[in-house]
Amino acid sequence: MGKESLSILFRESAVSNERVLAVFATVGFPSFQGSIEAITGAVEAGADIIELGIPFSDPVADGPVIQEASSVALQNGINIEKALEAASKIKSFADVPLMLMGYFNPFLHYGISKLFTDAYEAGVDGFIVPDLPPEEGHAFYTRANELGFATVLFLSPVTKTPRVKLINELTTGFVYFISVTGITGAKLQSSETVALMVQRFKKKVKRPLLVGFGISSPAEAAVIGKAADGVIVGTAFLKTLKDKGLKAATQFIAHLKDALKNTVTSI
Amino acid sequence: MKVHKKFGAPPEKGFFGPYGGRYVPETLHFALDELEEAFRTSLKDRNFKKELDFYLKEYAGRPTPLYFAKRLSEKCGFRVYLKREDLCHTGSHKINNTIAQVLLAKHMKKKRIIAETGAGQHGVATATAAALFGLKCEIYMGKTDMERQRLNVFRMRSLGAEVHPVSSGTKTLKDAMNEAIRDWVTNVQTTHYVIGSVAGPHPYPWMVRTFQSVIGRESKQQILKKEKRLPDAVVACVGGGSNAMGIFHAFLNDPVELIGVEAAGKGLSSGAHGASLTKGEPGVLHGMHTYLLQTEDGQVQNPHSIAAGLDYPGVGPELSYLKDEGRVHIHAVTDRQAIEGFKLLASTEGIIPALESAHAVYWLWKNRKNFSRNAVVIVNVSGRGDKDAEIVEFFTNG
Repeated sequence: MGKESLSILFRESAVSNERVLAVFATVGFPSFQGSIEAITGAVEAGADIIELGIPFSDPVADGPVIQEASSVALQNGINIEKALEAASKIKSFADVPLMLMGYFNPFLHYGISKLFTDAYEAGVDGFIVPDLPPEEGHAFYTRANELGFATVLFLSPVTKTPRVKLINELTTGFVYFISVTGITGAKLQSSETVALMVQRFKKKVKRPLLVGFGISSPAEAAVIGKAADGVIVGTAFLKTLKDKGLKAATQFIAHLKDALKNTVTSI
Repeated sequence: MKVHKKFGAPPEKGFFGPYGGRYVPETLHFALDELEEAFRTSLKDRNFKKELDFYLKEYAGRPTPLYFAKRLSEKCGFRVYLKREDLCHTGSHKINNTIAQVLLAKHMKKKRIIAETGAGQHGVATATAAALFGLKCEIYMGKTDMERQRLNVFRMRSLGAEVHPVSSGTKTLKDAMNEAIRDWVTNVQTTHYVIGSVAGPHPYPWMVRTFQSVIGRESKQQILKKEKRLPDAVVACVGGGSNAMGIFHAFLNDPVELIGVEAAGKGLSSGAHGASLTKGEPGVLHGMHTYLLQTEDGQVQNPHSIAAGLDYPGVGPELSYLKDEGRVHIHAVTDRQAIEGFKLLASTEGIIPALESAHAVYWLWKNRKNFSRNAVVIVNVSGRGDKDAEIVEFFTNG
């Protein structure tokens, strides 16, 4: 489990010359069952990592699409217990690394040691907490790492070098590179610009580097995938799910995965 | 009262005891580091201080009077002084902080200013400072607040600011702050975010408290001159806590009782209030670890207060610390009682306070029997009440 399963995934994808596709989905959007179906659909279509989003009342790092998904999920009564129930169901269908992703306060309120125990039992592989930086989260990340969970910390285009060192020290899963200064679903600069930034940062990080925020098409994924170890897609997946339904959303994932298969050989 | 422990120092690594910190998305760390650096430099920069003092005096109207409220004193049975922040330019203490922050932003070569606002007082004060220094200004304000504080929306627009209505969540201060943070993450290189309270990620709680501490410094000098002694108590309302920390700071290591008055809204047991220190539990929101109104699932609970400036689920981290340490005593006053405080001050002293400040006035009135005849008490009148006329009228006549 945990960081082991991610290491294996990244080794295998390197061998097969593929890039990794991580898919974010909010538990409870459009409904509890609907989110599980969407996620298992995404896994069947080629998603390599699942980021299971726990809704929060004040998602400051998110754009309108994930804000709405979050608010629908809260209306559907989603809390950490329900999210862990979903995690455990997904794991019973699909052997895919599953990361819990959420803002810090619900985790904190649940109790961190209880969270680690219950998450382990549910088969969760690791944690992504966008508002818990390495300084404030030092104890959290260290303990999670000791327990074998994979941890994911963020890098942004404006992160200064001394912080990269700290981020390297605590990250055992992958580094989440934010493609734009902005919120999830933001408009991307040209994919080429992002790819150049990624090349620059990739030299500085010790773990695999995945790029997220604003990637909305297979074409963008292909260009960025050339420079990174993989991409993360959330907003575009949830938007397709909401506007066009489950089938279109899983097709979208399949197209993204195809684009990431071709990145290496097409150069 | 503790005298063996020193209070009011700068935070250690961004924390006041266990509270504070910088719980924000990675992109903002760059801006917060840059801001902290600029703020630290400004503290040592004589020219900055001189420039700030000039504008506070010549433009904002400082020092504000510490007025001996004769008729209210007679009614209460002891000596009551009012710190007249309502007489500041734009009508509240908010201008102390906005002039300083916009000046700092100018030194940092930022081109654009953004701010959140609840009652609109901070929005007006920010728009004013931006106009004064010629910077572009955009304000985020909850739709509910825009409706109940229309006069301030008009003022901000007249001052050249763009006002963005926020319709997410409860459409009040907390949601306006979420939206301002999203803007800042996006435009972090060109924009300075002027937070209006002693809240948010480090260095804001420390910086805003520093800029607001002029209120307490003046009050201390003034009371020593008028009474030849320190007051027995200082009373201020607490939403995020900027006027409270502003007046408390100078007295933190003196034998003076400090009383913060939160919004009990429709009653502390109603669930509809803004009393985060009284009823909340420690949690993380808007970049800080602090007392927070939250549900059993750790979601942020919707606050309520008749005073838009107190309608916030969190509170400044330094106040959380001072509460735990027993240095500040926290009480709460309901909507209905605040209206009484509003009317009381208007009819006995000819001063119409903001509904926020009216909470502090009412607390004093309600607890008047607990003070001795020789007592000297200062109440911070953080703002004036013109903006609340419609609300009070509606509440009274229904």
